[in-house]
Amino acid sequence: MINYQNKIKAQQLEQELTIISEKIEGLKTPKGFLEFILYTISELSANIKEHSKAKNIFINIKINQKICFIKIVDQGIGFRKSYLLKNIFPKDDFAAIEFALSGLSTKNLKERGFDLYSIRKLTEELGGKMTIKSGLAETTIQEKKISFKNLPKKIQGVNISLEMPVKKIDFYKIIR
Amino acid sequence: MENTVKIKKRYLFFRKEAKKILRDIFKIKNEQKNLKNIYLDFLQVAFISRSFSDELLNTINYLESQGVLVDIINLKPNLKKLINRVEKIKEKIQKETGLGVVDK
Repeated sequence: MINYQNKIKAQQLEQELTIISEKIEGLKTPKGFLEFILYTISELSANIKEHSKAKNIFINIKINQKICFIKIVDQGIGFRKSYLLKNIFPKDDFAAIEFALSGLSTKNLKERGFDLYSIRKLTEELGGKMTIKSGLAETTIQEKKISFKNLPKKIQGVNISLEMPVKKIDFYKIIR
Repeated sequence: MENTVKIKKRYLFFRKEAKKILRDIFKIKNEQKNLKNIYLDFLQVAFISRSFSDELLNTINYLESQGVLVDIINLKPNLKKLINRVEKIKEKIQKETGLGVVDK
């Protein structure tokens, strides 16, 4: 069982991920689930490092025998500004989240990222829930349906939370 | 084994770590002008991220374009699976976009 919660500085991210990974590696989980957790945490962290310009990151991970909860929050520039800086023009925060979920990277095409796309597919396969907040938008994916909600107040950066049952998954078949 | 870069980390998360491998190889290349082959030893590595894998493949392609063949040794089967998966996706993107991967 893991119950990890910490606010860290961006420059400590690698060190902290190593500590988290060591804890996760010690867990006994169904086949493919360990790969899923490490993949998700590392890709969300890589996104923050490569795109967000955030100084601080909040990480919350709770895993028991039945449920896995992951929440990663950065106080960076958010999806929309990240795209705008690369001359990609989502019309609003909802569109920016949809771009990110579709796999459109802010980098050049040869490094096109499928990070959120794969995490979404993995979460759906596990029967979980994924919520993304950025700017004034909140997007939730659950039971292969996507829903949108306006946030009453603009948030800085990106806030991603995932919750799913701990179960077997064919990890390598799903990732893109 | 000669010309071996031992990866000393257990977890490789970020692109910068693949770029560091490239710098390490260039140090060897500067010392050995006729370097044709290099081994990357992943014995100590338990996890690599997709971002790292992506950048590692960019690094290998770049080195091959410079006449240096890279062999990855002691790679755990699950890490090999991930790299193969990322490689297939990169090839698909290349076909779709017509873009190469060598651009440093």
